Amino acid sequence: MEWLVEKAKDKGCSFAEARFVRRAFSHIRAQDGRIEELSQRELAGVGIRVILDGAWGFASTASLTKKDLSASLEEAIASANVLRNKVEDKAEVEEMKSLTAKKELHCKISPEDVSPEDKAKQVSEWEREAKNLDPQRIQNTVASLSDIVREEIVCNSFGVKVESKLVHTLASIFVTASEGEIRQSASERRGGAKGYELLEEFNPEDFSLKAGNKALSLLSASPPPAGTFPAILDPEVVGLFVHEALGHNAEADAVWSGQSIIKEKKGEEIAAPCVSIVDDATIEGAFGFYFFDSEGTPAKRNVIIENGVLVDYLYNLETAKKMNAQPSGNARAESYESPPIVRMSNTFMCPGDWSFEEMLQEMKNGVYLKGGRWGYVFPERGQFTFNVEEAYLVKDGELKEHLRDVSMSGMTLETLKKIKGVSKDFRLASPGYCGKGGQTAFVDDGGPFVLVEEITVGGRR
Amino acid sequence: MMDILEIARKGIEKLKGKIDQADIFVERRKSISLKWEKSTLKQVEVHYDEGISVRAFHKGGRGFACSSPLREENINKVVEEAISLAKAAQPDPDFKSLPSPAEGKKVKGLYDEKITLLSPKDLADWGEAIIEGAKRIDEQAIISGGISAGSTEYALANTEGVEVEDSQTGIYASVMVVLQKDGEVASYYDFDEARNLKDFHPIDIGEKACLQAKEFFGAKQAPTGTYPVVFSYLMSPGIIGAIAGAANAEDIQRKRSFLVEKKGEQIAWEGLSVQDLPLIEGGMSSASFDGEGVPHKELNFIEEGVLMTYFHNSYTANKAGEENTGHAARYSYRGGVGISPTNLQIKLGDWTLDEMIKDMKRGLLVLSVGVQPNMASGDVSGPIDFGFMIEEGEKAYPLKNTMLGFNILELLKNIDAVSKDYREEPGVKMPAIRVKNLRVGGGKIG
Repeated sequence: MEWLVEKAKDKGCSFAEARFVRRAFSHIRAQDGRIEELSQRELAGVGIRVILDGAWGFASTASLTKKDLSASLEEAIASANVLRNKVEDKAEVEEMKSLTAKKELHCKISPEDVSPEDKAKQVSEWEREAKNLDPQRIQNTVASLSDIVREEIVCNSFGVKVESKLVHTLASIFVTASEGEIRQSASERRGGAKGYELLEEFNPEDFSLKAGNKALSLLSASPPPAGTFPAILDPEVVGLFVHEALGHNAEADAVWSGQSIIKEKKGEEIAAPCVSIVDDATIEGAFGFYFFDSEGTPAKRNVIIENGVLVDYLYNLETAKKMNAQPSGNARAESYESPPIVRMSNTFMCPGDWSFEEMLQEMKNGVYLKGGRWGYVFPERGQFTFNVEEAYLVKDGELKEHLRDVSMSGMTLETLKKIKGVSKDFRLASPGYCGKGGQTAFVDDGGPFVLVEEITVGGRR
Repeated sequence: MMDILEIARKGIEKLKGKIDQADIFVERRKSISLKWEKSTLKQVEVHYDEGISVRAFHKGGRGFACSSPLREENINKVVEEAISLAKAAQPDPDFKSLPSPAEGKKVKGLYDEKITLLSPKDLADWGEAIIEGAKRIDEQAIISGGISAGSTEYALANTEGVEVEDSQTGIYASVMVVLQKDGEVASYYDFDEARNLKDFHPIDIGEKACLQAKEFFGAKQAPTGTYPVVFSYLMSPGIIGAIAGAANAEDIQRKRSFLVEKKGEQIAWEGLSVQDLPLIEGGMSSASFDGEGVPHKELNFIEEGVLMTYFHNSYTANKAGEENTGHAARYSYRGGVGISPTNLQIKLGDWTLDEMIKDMKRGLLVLSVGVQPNMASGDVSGPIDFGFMIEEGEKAYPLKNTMLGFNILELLKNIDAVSKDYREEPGVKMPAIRVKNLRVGGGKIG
């Protein structure tokens, strides 16, 4: 790897980086009372990134022969060469101190030490537990267990050579129930940057049985009304909001390219004073944990909003240099094939001092939105949309009608200012994958319960 | 470099006798892409990938293993892994057999050598032209996007004698334009795609996106209510794609889809017919055979509003005792086999999009809305990303913070017109669709 970096320097590159990534995935899925598939995937390769006269070039290869690696380097340089006179926004990166380091996540129970048969037994059990709740009305259950071992070596022309090895384990269950013409589904997911000790941290009541009971209860829920309502968001929905609506806008590449709604707002009050938002890659065991980012910068805890004031953005080496900031350890690449881009890790809103009950009393009438399903944003317009798993109409401070298939939408900056209360209860709730620029990254998000003055709900009545 | 069909064949030889059935997929893939950000060219990427995957079946239980690069030791390893994983899976009596060899039609126009010869400079020239096009309309426009061109050669062999191989190329460009005026932001996007260089005309997408974006200044929330809605050209693939996604036989058999027990039923307005056309020359979703090597053929999906078929691969067809429609989908050596429709073509109607708008007293014109139904219920609740309030046949104002809520089966029955004009991309003509009334969640009831 180092020889590639040296060769790039010899050819006049002002920055060069060679990155090896090997990922081994193991996946087991049970459905309809059977373990129906076991799979193993192993993917490895090298990505090479250079700056030549202010232009980026990147090439990757799955072939690890010296000849093909050299050819990839030539392609990266040739690509940069084409752009060198065409780039107006010249490529440059913040200088790093030389660093040699090697870190490995130590699991209590390494995935390699658990036999496929034992993994299969556990997955079958989850599947059966959910199905047995109500074999008549539960039509389909899919339970799965995955582990991913990811090794990365980053070498660059600043004398950085860091190696890291991480393990992620993820358990999920998806249940579909039906009665007459009504068909509903619900899911649960548990995961972390850890080994199979994850499975000791939860029981069926808050996993397989919870998903099954949720799907069953949604069968008697009503479609939501349409309109604008005061709302309480649960930690999962808050996680979606913090990640999708605010977090992507805090990524410095969006800020630098002019597409963020919070550009040029550093130091300004952009949220209610009760709002603090943090991205923290150093939370051990959390799904978005890592030792170094894919440029070799050590992981950090980064405050985005503190007491309503925008403190800082999330950076990679390039945006840090251009925006006169410190690299925040947020440059992440999915694999050897993708160049590192600015990404979040574990992103959350910090807890406050309300109780859920106090929020209900304060709101009196509105909606309680629970369990994030999916979300997306138009960052430049600051508009977000989330689909939630379930909701309740709140009347006179009490949870009343159960609602299904609810989507909510709003404008991020308006919503941040309209937050009236933040609860003491808090959890990181959503281990999963975030997509950006064709890459996925392991992330987690969450927060407290949050009371918001108004949110638009897309309903059918 | 070793012939990829030969690699697959040799792997099958190694599997024979050790496992009931198996298939092997081998692939080599090259791509070059350019992205632009902040209205200037940003980065060229060149990628090479190769790999092999093995699906092995033991008493119907399935093991899957894949690996890259294509080295002898990796190939041997995935073969052994797939066998041992299949043996650890539980028997599945619904698995009958992988497909046997069959003759099909070779689709033309899926590979263009000119695309494999494109250089970073060719991409940069297009990129500059697209950016300039947008800047001609608005000098301050923030333009992002990219072009990606690639080729893939792949081979598939199974223990039942199927041996197929093919090569495909593709090129895709997209642009997003963001405009700002008096603290307000407006944006829009456009794209172009093709399998052959002669069908690729991306130069004006920057200009078109910029012109459209300008119309979105002054956006307002629509009052909550029920309105007729015209879905513009680019929306029809999303709506029909959502229906086709739910007609996946796997989801039907697992009872996860809102189309369970709907085959043969009137699910849509009788004016709506949709075909699945995998054999269109140069079509973006065309291919001679599916992901299990089954020859493709044309299929009536919806005929005069009646759901004619579900989409099958070999497993679901055998399980249902129905004919395999040839919709096994395999996107790369890294993934297993799913089910996917190909080029979905809606039968064109009598109206033009302009006539639909002029005919509307008060309603919505929707250019883009998230149509992602709850697969179980068919309920959709999504924001109108890009749309207009129409009053007396004219655009009154662009929309923001306005949501549509409907059940997709209700929407299908509420369609009352399809346009005769359309936007065309290789393999599909996309008409506009009008729906009598849909529930809109916005501001105070108006």
